[in-house]
Amino acid sequence: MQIDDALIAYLEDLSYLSLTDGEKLRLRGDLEKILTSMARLGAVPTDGVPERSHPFDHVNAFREDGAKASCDRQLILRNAPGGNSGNNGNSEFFVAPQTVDYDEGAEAGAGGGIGGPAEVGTEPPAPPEVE
Amino acid sequence: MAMAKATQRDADTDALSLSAAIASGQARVADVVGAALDAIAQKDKQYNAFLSVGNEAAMARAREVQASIDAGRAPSPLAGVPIAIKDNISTAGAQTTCASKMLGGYTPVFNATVVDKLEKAGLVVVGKLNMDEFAMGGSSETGVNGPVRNPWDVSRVAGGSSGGSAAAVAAGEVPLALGADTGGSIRQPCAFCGVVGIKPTYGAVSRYGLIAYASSLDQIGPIAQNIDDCAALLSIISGPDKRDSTCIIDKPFPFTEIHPEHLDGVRIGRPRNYFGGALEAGTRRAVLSASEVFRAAGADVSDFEMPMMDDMVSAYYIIACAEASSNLSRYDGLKYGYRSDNATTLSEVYRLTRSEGFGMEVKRRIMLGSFVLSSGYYDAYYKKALQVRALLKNVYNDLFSRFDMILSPVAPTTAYRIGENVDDPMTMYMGDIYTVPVNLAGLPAVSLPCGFDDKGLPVGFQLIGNAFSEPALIGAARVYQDLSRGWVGP
Repeated sequence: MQIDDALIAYLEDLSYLSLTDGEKLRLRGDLEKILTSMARLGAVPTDGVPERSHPFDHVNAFREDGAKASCDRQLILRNAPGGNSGNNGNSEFFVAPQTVDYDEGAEAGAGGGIGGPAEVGTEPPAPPEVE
Repeated sequence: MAMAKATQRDADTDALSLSAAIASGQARVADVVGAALDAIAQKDKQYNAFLSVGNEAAMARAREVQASIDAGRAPSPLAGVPIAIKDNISTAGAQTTCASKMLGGYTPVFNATVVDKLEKAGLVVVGKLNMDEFAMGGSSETGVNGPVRNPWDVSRVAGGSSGGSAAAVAAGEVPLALGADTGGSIRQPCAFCGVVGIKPTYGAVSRYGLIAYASSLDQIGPIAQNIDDCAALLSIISGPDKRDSTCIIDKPFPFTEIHPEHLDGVRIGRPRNYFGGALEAGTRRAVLSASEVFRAAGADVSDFEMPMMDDMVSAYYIIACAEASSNLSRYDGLKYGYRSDNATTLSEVYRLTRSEGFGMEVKRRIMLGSFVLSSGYYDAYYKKALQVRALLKNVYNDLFSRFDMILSPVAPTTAYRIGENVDDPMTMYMGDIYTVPVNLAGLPAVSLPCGFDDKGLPVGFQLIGNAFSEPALIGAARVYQDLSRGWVGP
């Protein structure tokens, strides 16, 4: 199977990864070999065979539905990158970069407040044609 | 390098001998645990089996367990025995990194259920074990802290992904370890290092707190010098768990002696086509010899042709990578572990953190999983693999109407040299050809040593059983162990 740059870029977007040029080159060769080998499954007759996503038919062991204490919030937040200080000193929430603009001046006015997204995601490219 | 001569190890270094000595007052828990910590300090620079060691915590725990024993409350047949744990199993307050930069410094706030069970049973956790990054590999070379080295020949891999677990037991650093097996990750390192391991039935041991790689395939299991120690540990870690809805077993496996005197009437199938092709001659010879031991014990050993043998690696890697791409989407740089210093926007935090935090094999499997799940390819790859998995279940259902157990090699080769295959993913993946069908079908298997190849490296074989047939597999393994050489170490 031929792996081109567009497909690698598409998979990077799907995976939230950015590969170096060297990694891309390696991955192209690896994926070609691996997917060519995997394509042999196409020869296995499976018409009418149900898909099995789990080893057994019995897939759920139920427990009683009741409220109970969960983990300690401060302990959990300590694992945020950099700990409490790295988490911008915040001991209540996980801190992430701002994703929406907030226009304070517009708050009092009509329709004020939250503006458009600060960053606009790119649409993933259309998947290549199936061979 | 020169091969260490295999010698009979002292019988009293196995877990049940140690716990018996502790129970009778001949040994103190602190001495036994201290000896393990000393062994790690002395030996592990050579093997790199450990990622972290908790000296003070282990000694404090040893004193607590001793107090219980002194008060007449020995909590289990393994009370006081030191154990080490694969680093993808969560330990509250002790770093759990999956040998990845992505989880550097991560300290779980809860124990995996198996760790809670170990503590309740009075075992003493001494440290966390090296592995392939996020358990993705068969050689324990892809971890951020460097490769595990095989105690039989330190220029060779220990196998993987539970290479640290197998090497630590083989080197005599600890008598017991926990590993986890997604596609052979307990059985193959046990074979490469000459120790015993059990991959339990899917749903026999709780996965709560096991950091997920491929959730429909992962299973935690024991590694030890011999089958009795493995059976004792399995009886402790198995059993239902309200926190894992896939843990469908109704009660723990018993640790009563299932020790038949012979195997008369036991039907053992030997897949003829597993013994050709890529199987090295020395491994073939050793595994066939093992099957003759079973025949001598009274078992009816007969050959059969395993259907779809060459399709299993493809089906496995499609399913495992698909599940991995979903499971590893949780690593976003916000809640725990690594975060890129170069990111300013949220999108960059995700993307740069993942690009800088994951190693190449993890990236390869995430992207492969994204591919097989993507629009346009889903039916041809992922759906097809799930259908092949259904066909494989039918194959095993038929086989277990004709046989009680299946005996096969674990891996086509013995331990190869560090660096020999790490840049060749197809060769690495094909090394899993005999182990992955067991995970796809959720079956139990025991990996046992059966001698050495021409290079003097350990060879292993596996006994595969029907779902929840662990007691029968353990009984057969005990008969084999009685009739074979028993434990030898490097």
